[in-house]
Amino acid sequence: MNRHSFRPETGRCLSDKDHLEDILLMKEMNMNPVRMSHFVPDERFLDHCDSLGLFVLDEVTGWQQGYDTVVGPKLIRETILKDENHPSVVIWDHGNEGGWNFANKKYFHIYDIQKRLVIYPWLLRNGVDTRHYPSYNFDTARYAKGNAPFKPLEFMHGLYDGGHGTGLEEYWKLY
Amino acid sequence: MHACGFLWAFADEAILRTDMDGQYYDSDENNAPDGILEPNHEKEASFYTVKEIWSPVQIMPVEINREWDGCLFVQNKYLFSNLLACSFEWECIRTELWSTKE
Repeated sequence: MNRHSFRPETGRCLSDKDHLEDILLMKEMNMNPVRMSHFVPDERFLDHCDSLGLFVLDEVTGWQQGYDTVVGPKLIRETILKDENHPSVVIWDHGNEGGWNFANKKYFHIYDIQKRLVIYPWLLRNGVDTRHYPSYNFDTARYAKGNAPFKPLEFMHGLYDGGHGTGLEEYWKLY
Repeated sequence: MHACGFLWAFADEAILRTDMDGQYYDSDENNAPDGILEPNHEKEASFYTVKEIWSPVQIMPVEINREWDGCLFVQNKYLFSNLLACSFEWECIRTELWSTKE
């Protein structure tokens, strides 16, 4: 599940209860991993993930435009030093949909001594195919014949609840 | 090889505006109501579908007719857990809801 931190009355400021509510709702839907789209989470959210068991894809902030080699390394460093000791964090996302800079990729392994996998949301890179919004006809052949584990980091867009429940079963049978 | 997938997105995002008449949830038109949950986290219909499709215990379809002996077939999708660790409750009900009888 792709998760933003948001509430109508407090915006991005969430209480401990809000974080827990999000996690319990995801658990109720039988979800195992959660993606921090497209920014790093609150510490308390990760504490609950550690405690209750959700895999976290922790994402360095970045959306479609990458950071330069001055700001980018600082963001990577701060993300890793803040969250590296949470066992729930299993993967780093280097920005979203082009929100990365390959010149900065070395900083992940400089700062993260556990050398977690770094993925690039929507690319086939570092051994993982993360294509976004795979189409039913075209992409199924690609995934059936590809060697890399396929993991769309965004799929089944649910504007006005139009895409989740209606299309998921067909995709899931296919995969 | 399919590893997993991430639905877009968890919850609709809308700000509760206090500068408008009455209660007005502003989602910037089509730019934020992509969620399985509504802005205050009420469940939308897909919540229950997703829960069922991704359930670690799948119940196989069964044709219920005169020959049906009351058994249900379940499939264990857990990677490590035995279904003996689970407890189940179910009931069989008679309903006229979808009956074709007049």
